[in-house]
Amino acid sequence: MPSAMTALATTTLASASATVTFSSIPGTYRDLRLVIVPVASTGTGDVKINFNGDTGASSYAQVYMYGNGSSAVSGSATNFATIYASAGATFTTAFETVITTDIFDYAQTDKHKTVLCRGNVASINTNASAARWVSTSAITSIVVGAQTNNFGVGTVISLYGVSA
Amino acid sequence: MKLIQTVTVGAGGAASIDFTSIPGTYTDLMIVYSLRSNRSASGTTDGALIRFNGSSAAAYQTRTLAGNGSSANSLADGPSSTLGIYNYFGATSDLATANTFGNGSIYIPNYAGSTNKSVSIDSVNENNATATLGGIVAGLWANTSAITSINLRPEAGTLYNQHSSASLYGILKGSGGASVTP
Repeated sequence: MPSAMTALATTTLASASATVTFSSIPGTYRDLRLVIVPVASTGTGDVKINFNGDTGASSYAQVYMYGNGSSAVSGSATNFATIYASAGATFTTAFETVITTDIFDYAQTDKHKTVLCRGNVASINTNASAARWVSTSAITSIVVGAQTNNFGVGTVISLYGVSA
Repeated sequence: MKLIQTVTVGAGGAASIDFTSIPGTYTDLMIVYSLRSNRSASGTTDGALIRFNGSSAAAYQTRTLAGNGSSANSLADGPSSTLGIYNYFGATSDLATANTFGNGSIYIPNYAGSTNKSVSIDSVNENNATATLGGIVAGLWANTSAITSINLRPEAGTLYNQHSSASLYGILKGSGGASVTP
């Protein structure tokens, strides 16, 4: 059975790093999926995503919701310089976090790019967000970054192409 | 993404849906399910309980966010003996509109690795009425064993009804045209 989801690139960190960069992304798929299993080098961190090196102050818009076990929270912003892939939840030094990020029509040049993120940190929250990159450019590179503290050893980040 | 196995419940129902002898050759697992239980005491919904490798040790933990069309709430559970899709959005029950099933997906990264197992669940219960439930779950199995079996069973009912089904997929990471640094 042909696979609708094709592995494009993956990394398992052997040393701490602030970023993981996917580049030379082929434009031959319909959508992309990132699977991020982060662990912090120390303390905690946030996972952020940027496309084609764009860190402009108002390049991303995002609406999010999360549940932390006692309350449900929702919010939004239209002036982010990055996409926060796991709203309201930091990754920790424990292996307990999984984040999936779906990027739709990433190679199209007739629309802004829509992103759906699902973040899970069982000791903190479960969250979902929808984001938009305010650009009609095809996505050819993705930077997955750690904010506050670096990605630690054992962090696994994989990129897949999804065929139409 | 490759299909490993599909289980479809036949006539008479089944107490659980089980995936066994799961090969360790993939990177991640995903289950896509469609469930209806025989719960008939009250309510149109049922939860779903998950165990890995048959383990009932109190090593499962969840954070849940659910909505019912008018409000949202959040639940924390664990350490517990099962990983639960609680708040009753794991499946429909026999009191729901006929021929409706709850649906969802369970994503398990690095299932064959030697670290604790995190889980991402999206689920919705279906009913042809104003009240239904949908939600998301963050799960954790604090066990470093590779997952070789998965058991899925109703929380309140005793059987999954005929036509309930679940499919297990394997996802394999690798290199296929893009570059990554580091």
